[in-house]
Amino acid sequence: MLEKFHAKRPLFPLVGFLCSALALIVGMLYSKSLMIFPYIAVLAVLFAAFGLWRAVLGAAVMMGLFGVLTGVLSCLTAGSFDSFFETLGRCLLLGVAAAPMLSIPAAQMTRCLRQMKCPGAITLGILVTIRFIPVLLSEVRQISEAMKTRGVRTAWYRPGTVYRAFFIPLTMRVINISDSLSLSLETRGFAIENKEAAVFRPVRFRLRDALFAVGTAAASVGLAVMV
Amino acid sequence: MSNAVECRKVSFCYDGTDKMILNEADFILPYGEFAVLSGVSGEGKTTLLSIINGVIPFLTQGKLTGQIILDGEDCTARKVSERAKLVGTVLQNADEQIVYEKALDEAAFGCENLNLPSDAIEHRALAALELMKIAPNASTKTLSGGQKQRLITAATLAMGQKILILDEPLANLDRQGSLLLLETLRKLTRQGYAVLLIEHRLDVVLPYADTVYQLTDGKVVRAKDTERLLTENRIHLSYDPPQNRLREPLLTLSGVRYAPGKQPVLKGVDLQLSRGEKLILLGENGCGKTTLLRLLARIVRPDAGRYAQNLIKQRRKKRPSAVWFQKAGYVYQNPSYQLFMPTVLQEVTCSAVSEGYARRMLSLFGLSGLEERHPHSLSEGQKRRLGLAAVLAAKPELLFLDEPTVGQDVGHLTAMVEALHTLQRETGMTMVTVTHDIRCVAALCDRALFLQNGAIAAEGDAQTAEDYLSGKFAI
Repeated sequence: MLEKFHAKRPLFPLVGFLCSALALIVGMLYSKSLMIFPYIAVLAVLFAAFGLWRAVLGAAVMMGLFGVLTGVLSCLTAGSFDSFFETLGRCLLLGVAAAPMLSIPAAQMTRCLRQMKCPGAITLGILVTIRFIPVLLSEVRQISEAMKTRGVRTAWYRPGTVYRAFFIPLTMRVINISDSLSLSLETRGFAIENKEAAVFRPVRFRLRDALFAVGTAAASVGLAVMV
Repeated sequence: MSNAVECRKVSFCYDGTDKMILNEADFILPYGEFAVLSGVSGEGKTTLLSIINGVIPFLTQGKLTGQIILDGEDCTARKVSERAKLVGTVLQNADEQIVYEKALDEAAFGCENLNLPSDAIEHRALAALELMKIAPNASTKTLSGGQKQRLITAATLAMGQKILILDEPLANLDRQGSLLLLETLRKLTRQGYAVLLIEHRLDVVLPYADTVYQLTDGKVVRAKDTERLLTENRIHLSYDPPQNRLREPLLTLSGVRYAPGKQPVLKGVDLQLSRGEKLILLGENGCGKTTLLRLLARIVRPDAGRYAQNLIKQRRKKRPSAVWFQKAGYVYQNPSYQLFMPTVLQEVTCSAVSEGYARRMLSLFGLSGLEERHPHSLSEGQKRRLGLAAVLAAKPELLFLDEPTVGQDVGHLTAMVEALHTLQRETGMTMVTVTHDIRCVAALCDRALFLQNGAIAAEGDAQTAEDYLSGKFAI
């Protein structure tokens, strides 16, 4: 499901990961200021210019809608418009900052970590996390479909039915998939302590990766200076 | 030369039970032998494979005694990833095992873990994918169930271990895919590999196998009379077609197209389904059978073309209502999605027309005595039968079945097909089935449609369907 977010020319995975982290941390530090919105816009343009427009658009739209919803709730409970903009800004930031991370194929991320002799436990953790997001989304869709075929309708006033018909199959599927995935990894020779794994088609750091990192850092410094 | 696999006095019981699955069992698999492990579901075939590849006791806990020798070395204390250097494993449920987005990356993954040189990885991965007929740049997300099975098998073959163990690798494969894999395995054994394969469909695998083993009372026993075994397992279920059936159209598709991605999965399908008919959808892996089934059941909507139904009255509503799914039952390939009640009995009664009818379904599908069990604690074969019983308890007028017989041994398969036949005769329900199982295709078929590249390429009857699955008829 995340495949549609992948860039044609992916970034060096570690650059993507660190830029996502930097944008998120700096943005959150200054999220109370309205300057967060120009910062998000600059990041979105920068990321789109580097070919990540699908991920930017997808994540921003999804998180923007979520931000409006939670922003309204936040505004109602806090009684001020400021909290609406703060919540919306944080949600949008989360979506846009995640774009470089979402655009990296799992295979490239694993290979990058192996090239850098990263501990197997971290590689495994990141690999399973990246693999699990699309799986979880796909399972949610499949179970919702299956509920309908068994005549179960989701309704907020019937939480018991939703719990039984949705969360129980979802939990069982997640447990089964994680079991099968770990069996599959181990029987195909993946081991946490394996320091000798080869890298098929190594990923390389290029000039555009450096430019991307500089651009993200410059935008983050700019935000700090302006605020 | 040492044996490939030697199990010496192996005993095992799972944690929390006293039942010995294996009891001082001895098993030897020499290099150059193609062995099949067969028998009734739940007897411990997968357990034996898990003991050989180290999943038991390192990932699945239990009390294990005895000695496991692989390629002449005592591997009893070696972990799964260490044994993976010697043993290639193909597990069940291929779609849950895929790690990467592209087929080539997936096939290369195991080779990378074995620290092979980059050139060798590329060569092996491409060769294995070509052998299993999977395009290297194919997206793993869009592969069909059978294609995913081929991909996982290719990924194991690429690793190049000389001991191969495979757990029901033919489950979702079409005829060509099954024969291709069996031919390859036989060729490999002639080159000195050792192959151990679990399979229920002995009639398919026996022509390729050198030996057959069965599990009896916790022991691995070599079958002496394979001819008798073949006769016992070669079943052919069929029923006389009903006379004077009404030809009232129930579903009609005209020029239906469906393209969830860049490539269309269905291209201009025209189809009419009559009330009371038993329709079978056949074709190679990835030709669009399951998609067509989902489209007929209104789980997905066509991108172009016309869909008309006479099952319920519904005013121009695009989404199917709850009433639709009360009358149109859909049984998934993976039963776990549809099971959500705390007990087997509640699972069937929650949608049943009456409790008596629910109990009858349990009896028909061999689930009596399991009423108080949690549905997810059942074996895969039992879950599949429970999913079927639960859907049928609502007395649907239209039933969609996606590979309903996968993983069923001869006894359960016969009971399942006979139950479906009885209910179909009683209620006059219409059935649409996707299957690759030659043992029961005739019993589930009045009419067969053959799909190729997302379009209906040919039409035939039960005999044509059997001929197609036995290779006597090609599209």
